[in-house]
Amino acid sequence: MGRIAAKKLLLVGLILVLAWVILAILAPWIAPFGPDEIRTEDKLQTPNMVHWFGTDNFGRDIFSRILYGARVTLWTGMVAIGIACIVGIPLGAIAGYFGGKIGNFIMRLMDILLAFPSLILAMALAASIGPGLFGALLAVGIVAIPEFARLMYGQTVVIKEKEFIEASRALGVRHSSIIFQHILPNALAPVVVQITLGLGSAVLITSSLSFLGLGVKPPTAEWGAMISYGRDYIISGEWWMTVFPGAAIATTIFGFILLGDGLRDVLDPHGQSSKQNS
Amino acid sequence: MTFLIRMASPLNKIHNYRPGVEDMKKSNLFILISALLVLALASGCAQSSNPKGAAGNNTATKAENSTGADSAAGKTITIAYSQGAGQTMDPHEAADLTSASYAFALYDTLVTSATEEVDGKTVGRTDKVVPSLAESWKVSDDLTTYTFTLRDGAKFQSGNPVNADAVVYSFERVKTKGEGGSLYKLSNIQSVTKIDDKTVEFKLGAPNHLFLKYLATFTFSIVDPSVAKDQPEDYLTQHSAGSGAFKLEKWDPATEAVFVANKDYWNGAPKVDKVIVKYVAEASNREMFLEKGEVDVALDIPAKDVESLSKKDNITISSESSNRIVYLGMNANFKPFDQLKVRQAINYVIDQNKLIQDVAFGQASPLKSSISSKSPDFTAEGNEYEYNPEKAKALMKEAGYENGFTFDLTVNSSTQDYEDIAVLLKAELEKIGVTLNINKVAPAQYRELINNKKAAAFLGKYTSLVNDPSYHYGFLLDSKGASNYTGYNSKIVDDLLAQANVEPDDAKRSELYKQVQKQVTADSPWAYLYESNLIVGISKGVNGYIFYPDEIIRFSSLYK
Amino acid sequence: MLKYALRRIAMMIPSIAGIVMITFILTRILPGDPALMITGEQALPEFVDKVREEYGFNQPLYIQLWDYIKQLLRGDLGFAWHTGHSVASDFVSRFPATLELTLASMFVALIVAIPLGIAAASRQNSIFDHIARVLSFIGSSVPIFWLGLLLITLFYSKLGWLPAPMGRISGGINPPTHITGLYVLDSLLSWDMIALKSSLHHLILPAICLSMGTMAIVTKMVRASMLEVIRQDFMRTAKAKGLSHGAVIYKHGLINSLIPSLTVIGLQFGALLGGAVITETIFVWPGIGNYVTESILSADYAPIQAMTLISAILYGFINLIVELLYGVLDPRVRYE
Repeated sequence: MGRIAAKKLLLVGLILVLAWVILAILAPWIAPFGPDEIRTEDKLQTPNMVHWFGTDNFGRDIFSRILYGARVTLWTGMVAIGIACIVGIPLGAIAGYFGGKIGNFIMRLMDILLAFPSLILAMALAASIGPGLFGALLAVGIVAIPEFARLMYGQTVVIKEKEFIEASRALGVRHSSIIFQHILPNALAPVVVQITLGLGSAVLITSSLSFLGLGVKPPTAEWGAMISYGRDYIISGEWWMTVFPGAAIATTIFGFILLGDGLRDVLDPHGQSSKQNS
Repeated sequence: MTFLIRMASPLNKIHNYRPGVEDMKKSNLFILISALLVLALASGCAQSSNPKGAAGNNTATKAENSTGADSAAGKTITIAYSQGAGQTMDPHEAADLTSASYAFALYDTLVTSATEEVDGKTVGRTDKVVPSLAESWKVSDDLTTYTFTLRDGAKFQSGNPVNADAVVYSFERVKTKGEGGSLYKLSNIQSVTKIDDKTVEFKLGAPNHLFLKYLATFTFSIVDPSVAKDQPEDYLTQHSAGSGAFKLEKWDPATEAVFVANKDYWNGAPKVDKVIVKYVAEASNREMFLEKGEVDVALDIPAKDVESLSKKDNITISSESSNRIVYLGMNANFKPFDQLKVRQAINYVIDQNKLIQDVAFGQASPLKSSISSKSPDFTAEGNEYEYNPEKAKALMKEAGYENGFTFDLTVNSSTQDYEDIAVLLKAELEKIGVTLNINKVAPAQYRELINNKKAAAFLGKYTSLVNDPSYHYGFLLDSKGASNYTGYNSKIVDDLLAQANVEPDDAKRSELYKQVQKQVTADSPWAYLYESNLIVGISKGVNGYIFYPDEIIRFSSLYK
Repeated sequence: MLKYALRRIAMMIPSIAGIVMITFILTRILPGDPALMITGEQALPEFVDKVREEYGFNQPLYIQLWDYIKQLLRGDLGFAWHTGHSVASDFVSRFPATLELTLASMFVALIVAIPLGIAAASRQNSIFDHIARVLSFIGSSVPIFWLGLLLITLFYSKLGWLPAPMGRISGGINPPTHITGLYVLDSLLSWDMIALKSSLHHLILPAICLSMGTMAIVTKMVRASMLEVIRQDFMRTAKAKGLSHGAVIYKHGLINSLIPSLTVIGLQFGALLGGAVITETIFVWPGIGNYVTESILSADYAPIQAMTLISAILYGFINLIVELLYGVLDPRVRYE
């Protein structure tokens, strides 16, 4: 793919992500109805001028629920990936920087976590921590830790051999300063790419958990839960309960992936960051 | 799913390759070809399990769909179940509705539930018993000794006669099992003795007016000792050894169970050759399969579609009020439910008609007491609750919760309806300033929370297996009841129940149970929601469906 | 190479020990009391206690762990109370279903992805390139559960082209003679055309649904490595020798571009096993994914422990096989 095409895709990704972020922030002002506003007299309406995306079995406005759902989705994604970064990056950096037994142990642990099918691990974790948003985002976060640790490990191993690090070490700079002041900033580009791609995965896992009934608590407007809810109605013809939330998930994930891929081309042209999500 | 893709670390080491001109090794191709040849040879030896003659007719799935399950194998009825394909085939251990329905097909009991004609439909009466393996019985004057005479000609599927030894063996076996043992204990059987080959005597610890109803449950199925005795203890979990109308052919607990007719059934051979039970978890799928003729009977059709399905020519819907009651339990050991006024207030914000309309789509009826209106001795007396948010607010104020409060409502994720109820209640409670958090949990966690009385409030349902207030209240509202999840503890109710249990006079006992109901309603440990219907969809060609209020399907009566 | 393989297998042992520990802890902190689930709603407390004792749920955790390890060393995977069968027998009856689904979706993914990737690379910005992009969008962004629902609605309820998503074969049809447990393969081997047709019809939608992610990734990989190869010197040489464009692409480009894709394809097997959880739930496919989901929801410890353990070991072996295949295809790879 040419550079120009890549930049175009980056732009599309940026627009998609920004659009969802803005919609999520502005949801209380732009949503025509409350997300949990029940009007049973309006139930199961086809999309119309008042209810753009129709209504569900309680007469709740699907459009408004999708807007509020964006808040839940983006918030969960951010916190989950935040957890993954806060735990994964230092672990990877320590393992890469010190190497030896500690490094080996940490990376071994990460390998073990990686060996689990991630959805099954997330399901078991979400079920163990307890249902609700907190359980889901913690589960998604834990599952994403090894990816960040491994990325950081690879980066650190390369960067620590560079001359300026050797020089700092020779000057007696403390290990922690070297890690935080030299290695982390130099590994930033691939980490940013990984965060963007990780957000896409987080959205997917969270909605999958909700779909399986291990995610948010009702009546929270969450896209996966909305699809699971609409499942009983798709056969009887109420397709809008399922189709719109699904489209919301797909466009959000797609936005993150385009953005991540594009950022990689711009920030990290040698492709050091993982290509796992491409 | 892209998030599942990861690079394994050791691979990174060998990732730096340089492509070069390398043709695929000829030897690899050779191996592939030889492998295919071996497979082709193997195919010559294997036998086909489907008749080859029919292979010529290949008009796609359309043909398959239209004929449904009615294949060349004779008359087959396929039923879509909603709650699993069963946990056990052992009638003495069965604890779920699916396993219970298997027990009724594979085994017989000494006595069984009656049926009666109502408006041209046959319905089951779980509150009345009629002879089955026992053709008659005598009760002693002190009501503690029952002597059963076994039917002549009743045979197990092994060909052995159903005799007194089998009865004694079966009851010895029930005693040791989890689910069966509980009922054995509740029925207060002291001894089971063989008098002669055709006569068995039961001695009870005390008079028990529902003893015969207990015997009609699947738990007291009579098993064939000639098969079960010499096998390992858990043999019956996966095999059948009964006298019932059907034999077990195949069982995969994940998906299906297949039963074949017992042509020598003592009570007349079933009119179908085979019954296939399929587990279809999603309600929408069950409905879809029924519409397309993929299954002949589908259990638990979603209430929302009853109206539209009833209009279809090829489907009949049976929607009957069962013994199932749905209630909101409030545990008085948690604040603020320790206050009667708060519990009353909750009752006053419940609009049963709205719930029935919006959640159950009309396929339910109001619940007016702590027991189903189908139960003997039911009364709605003393129940003054109606939808009245103003009154609820006033009560909250009197209780000192003028500004409302927040509580968790524990809801089982297994049934969509309960989540719907919770969502509606949440909106309703907001109006009186109460915040309800819906704590939707998986079945295992739900059971743990409510059984250990750790839920301040929960949505509960109950279907009494034995259709009698003694059984119902003994579990649910007796202070020592195993299913008393609210921790309701009323000395008055306990005493009334104890008195009723030994009261031989039907009219007096009925009066006692009415008093119990009034007392419970006055104490309001529950908010009453509704009595739900058992909704079953049946293809037009299928006859013989009989509704039983205990919600267990007896598929032996089906034919087409 | 054999030595290397053995060393890698030996290296898996501590990982497996770690996995055993983690799954054990995970299952024990799962909320829910299995004893209550095993006994029914009508059971008296004393019988619930009896079950607790029978299954050892009343023992301290370290004793339960020790018992579990002893049991594993005996090769016993435990008992799944929610099905009433041993985990081993459940596994034997369910694994072929998952394997068939996984293999089928890998097959679907590869027959689409490899030609499409090559075509997209050799004719950039052509229609193939656009198709590849759309596929990549669907595969990477569209949730399987949503796609599955839409596919079922379209092909089963609206068009009626495909049978009900209910198991692996239609109700009235006997499964083929058991040889491998894979219905499609077995019916081919026993030349049972009825079973073959029915099982293919049942397989196609879930396989397509599950294949999308892999298809997208492999297309992208093949396209990228193909592009890289096309730009290499030897390709120019080959062209200069007078070989036609097509011949160059297929004879030289293909093999070389497939090597890096192999890594991805191997790892995709692991991904597919995980993705099967959702696909199986949607399509009521009687495999391992469905089994694990039900076990998690009913707090059934033994199957969760066994299945995570098995899939982690499988994952390890698939990685190893991919590495070894690398050596076969590219002799310059050395095993350290």
